[in-house]
Amino acid sequence: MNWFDQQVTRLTRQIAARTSRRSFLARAGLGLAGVAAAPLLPVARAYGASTPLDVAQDPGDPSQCDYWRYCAIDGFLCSCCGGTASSCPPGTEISPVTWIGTCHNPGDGRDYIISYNDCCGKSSCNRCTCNRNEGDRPIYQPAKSNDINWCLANTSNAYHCSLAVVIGVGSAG
Amino acid sequence: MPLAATARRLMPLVCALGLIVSTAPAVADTPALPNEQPRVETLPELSPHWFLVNDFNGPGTMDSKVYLFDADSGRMLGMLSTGAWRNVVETAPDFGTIYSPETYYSRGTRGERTDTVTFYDTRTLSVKGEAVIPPRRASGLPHRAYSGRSDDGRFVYVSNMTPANSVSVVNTETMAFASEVETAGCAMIYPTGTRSFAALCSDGTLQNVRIDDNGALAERSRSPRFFDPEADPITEKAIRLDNRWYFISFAGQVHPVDVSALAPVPGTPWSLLTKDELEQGYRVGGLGFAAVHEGTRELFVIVNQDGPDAHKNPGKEVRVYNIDETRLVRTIKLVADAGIIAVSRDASPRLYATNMGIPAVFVYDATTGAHLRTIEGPPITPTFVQVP
Repeated sequence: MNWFDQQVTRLTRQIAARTSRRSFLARAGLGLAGVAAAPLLPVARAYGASTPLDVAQDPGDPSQCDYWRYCAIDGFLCSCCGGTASSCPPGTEISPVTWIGTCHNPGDGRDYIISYNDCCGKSSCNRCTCNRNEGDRPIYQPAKSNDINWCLANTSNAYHCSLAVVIGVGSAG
Repeated sequence: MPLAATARRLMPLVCALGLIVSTAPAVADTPALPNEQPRVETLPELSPHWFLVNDFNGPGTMDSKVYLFDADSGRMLGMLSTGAWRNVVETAPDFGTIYSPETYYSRGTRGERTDTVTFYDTRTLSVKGEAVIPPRRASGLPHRAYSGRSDDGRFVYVSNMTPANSVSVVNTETMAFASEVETAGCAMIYPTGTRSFAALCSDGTLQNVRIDDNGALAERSRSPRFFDPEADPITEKAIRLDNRWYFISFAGQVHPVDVSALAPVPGTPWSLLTKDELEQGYRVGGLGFAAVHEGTRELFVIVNQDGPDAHKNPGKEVRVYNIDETRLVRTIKLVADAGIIAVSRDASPRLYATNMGIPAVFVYDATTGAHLRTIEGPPITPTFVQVP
């Protein structure tokens, strides 16, 4: 992992533990970057409705594994299961605990922090399997591991599919 | 159609039927099949070439399975139905009992959750008891090191993740949950003796935990930092020979750690890949890319050429190293990509190779590398092969 990824990871962990998403985005928008403390916890926050992005700025097909946000995903794509890249299919439950990756968006040249929440409570969707491991780390580093079933803190640990939610800008690109 | 024409068209069919009738034995000439009594099979004595395949059942992970095969005949011998989220099973030292960590919900995917270690009689493959454990068993992509067994068979250890890490200890003699040992910041299970197990820590160390005869925490110790989890993390895949664990990094560095005493002692690392090979993109990779044969002290490792981030990718060759001499002995070319391997323990070892995306297990002579047979699925999504 390069220096930049480490800084982004630290930033995200601290902010996720302390703030709402909205305030995070506001701060990120002001160009806040870099913090010192790094609590070794996964991101423990479920997100509301995603902010729609301009298509030209968010290029690619979310039902395809090569979509830029999926750079470190492992699972079934919710876009193929009745949801989208940032919304769970009907009747499922979003995982409040998850892990994060950093993916490069070719549409605007920025690196984004991606939260890979799982959608839980139903058995495998079993459509659009996708496994990419950029920056993935072993289980003993849970905040960076895509092997873990993040439905672990839900009422049911039945795994259905995975999201790739933009939760922050990593750089000005 | 004129009658004559119809008769001409039917003539070949009539002749064919006549031939069938004339070649079939007369009913009265042969004895009738004897009446049969339906029954349930039991297994014969253990063969050295039996192997277990854990199937995490990707299309329906709440209904996992464990298959038992005979590599010599290619036959499936039986199956266990093992609930949600398969990792691996543990087995008694005499293979008389299979210990299976399992998860169930009262209504399939919802309702009350119950986690167990289920005890199966190996001869009948039927349940003979269970220990209910805390409903926190780790799940996800399967890992071998999510459970372990004490060297004497007395205790089985099951990894928990909420995501806080802990280990459930089960007494196999009383078939009962014994204790839960927290292992904050350290994950997975690597047995280190009759009353101890280790866990890998995010700071690059190994924690060793000793339990008492009741399965409760007695004491613990940490190794010095022996790997860099950022620059070149070790994978969760590791093999054990005697009192030493061998952990393998993304870049193919082998990190031996002596676990004879409570305080683990890291040894000198050595490399499976040359600098040139790393530059050419060679990496170790796969869900279960490492195996060992104790008799020959050989380490088997799957290698791919997919470059960085290829630590889970399958490969088409298995490299065999002498673990004491830290040198490459031979290379086995596979007939199909594999991410999972195991090696039988006998003097004529078999190499079993499969991959989660391939519903088949390929059997090789582990010494010559010859492909002996292919056992086709199910399993649907084989995740770990284990040898008794």
